[in-house]
Amino acid sequence: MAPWRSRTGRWEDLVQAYVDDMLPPRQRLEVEEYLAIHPDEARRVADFRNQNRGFHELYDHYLLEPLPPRAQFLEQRILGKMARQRTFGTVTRIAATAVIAVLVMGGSWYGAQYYFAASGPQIDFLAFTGNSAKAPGPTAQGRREDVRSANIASREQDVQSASIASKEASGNRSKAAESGAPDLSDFGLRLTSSREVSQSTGAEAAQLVYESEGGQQVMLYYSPTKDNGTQKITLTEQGPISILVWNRGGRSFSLIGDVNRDTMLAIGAAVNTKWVKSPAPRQGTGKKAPPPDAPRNSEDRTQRNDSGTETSPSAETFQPAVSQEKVPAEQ
Amino acid sequence: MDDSVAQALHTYVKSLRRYAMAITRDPNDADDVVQECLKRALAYIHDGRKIRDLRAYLFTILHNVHSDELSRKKKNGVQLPIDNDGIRLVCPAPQHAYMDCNDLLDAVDKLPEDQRQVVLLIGLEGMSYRAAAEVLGVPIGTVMSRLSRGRNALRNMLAAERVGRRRERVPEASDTDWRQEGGKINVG
Repeated sequence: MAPWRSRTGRWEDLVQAYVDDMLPPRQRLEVEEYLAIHPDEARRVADFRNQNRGFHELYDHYLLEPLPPRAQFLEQRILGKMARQRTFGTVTRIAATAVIAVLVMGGSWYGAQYYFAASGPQIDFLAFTGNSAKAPGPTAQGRREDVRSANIASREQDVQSASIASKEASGNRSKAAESGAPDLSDFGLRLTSSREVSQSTGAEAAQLVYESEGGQQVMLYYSPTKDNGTQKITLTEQGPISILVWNRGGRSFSLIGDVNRDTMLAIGAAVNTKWVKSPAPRQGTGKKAPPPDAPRNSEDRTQRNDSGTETSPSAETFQPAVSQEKVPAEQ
Repeated sequence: MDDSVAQALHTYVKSLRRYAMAITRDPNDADDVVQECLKRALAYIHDGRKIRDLRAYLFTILHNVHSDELSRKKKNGVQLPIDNDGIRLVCPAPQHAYMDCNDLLDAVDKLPEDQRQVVLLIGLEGMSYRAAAEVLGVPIGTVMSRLSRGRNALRNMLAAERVGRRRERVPEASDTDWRQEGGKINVG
């Protein structure tokens, strides 16, 4: 064997591949150049090629002989099986495609039925936010952020993260302003998004996000509650953030925003005035709630406070008479 | 089934039989091995399984069947056919000066089984090194080393045979005399 090593591979491997015509042109040329100046190696290559020719001279005549009958029979059987397999494979593929198509269409239909059935009551509940059941829902991530922000908000803590969550959810903007949501333009606030979020209790809440030209943001969380009695109005100031929480007429409200105390109270009064006019939403009825501007129901118009005195909720009476807290802002 | 598939299968079966003749060196054994190979392929397809590369599959089965047969013979002892030189009868006359086909047959027969398989799969059947590696179930490097060793061993055996024949060669004149005497061999 030649001690020479090719630039492109082991010499012996190149020789064998050269004998079998399996070399690319560049390596073939390289081998031929080497063989031209090494006659011993050239003779070796010639002997290997003669071996191959000898094999063909010895055995190729078997190709001209007919196959034995038994082998012919088996060959025909194999051909028949392969033909059936190919036909069956085609039919199977078509059938599988059809089944998948039916499953996908059926699943979509069922899913739509399930979704709309499950969200039936929520359609009423969310009607005022301007969201419809057909509107694209929040993504899983967005929904988690919303739940978290709702939880935080309900604990009257990190309002800023709630604000961030709201920004993340701003892709779900809708025509909420046209749906009867509170108009806070008197405060320089414009409704930018409305959506459904989950609270820590599992209950659904509506989230309305308002923003001002200067970047101030106020979020309103609204959810129906079983408690129809008037609860205390709580105002919490946490640095530049004000949080206002109250119940009224079977509804629970939370207002969170980077506005001062007086502005927050005024906004709360406006929201209260706007929504106590409309009847409380009834979950699970499947009926669409009347618009906020619908004629008032006498039962909803008045509420009973802790002392049993009927009060007419209005902007004038909307004062945090019971609780007013001031919490230092977190560093 | 289109004709191309049928033609391909027919070609594969014929080359399978040729290769079986080469490695068994017995026509009956070769036909038995080919039949068993086709039966196994039929059973495989009958089970609903698909064969990706029919040629490689058939040769792989052939090797398995042949290995089983060799093991069986090793266990039971080799049975020599009555006409042990059967394949020599169909061997055509040598076509070139460098090699006698019977010498080549003898030399191939003396090769170790693994080298013989590789030399024949590549030299006779024209398989690529990769395909041969798949059929034999060994790495491609093993195929190349077996090929190199097998071819060099064949070359050495054939060279030794030529040298020996030259020494035993009868003078040219005797051949002439034999022909002149009407084909009768003059032993005395």
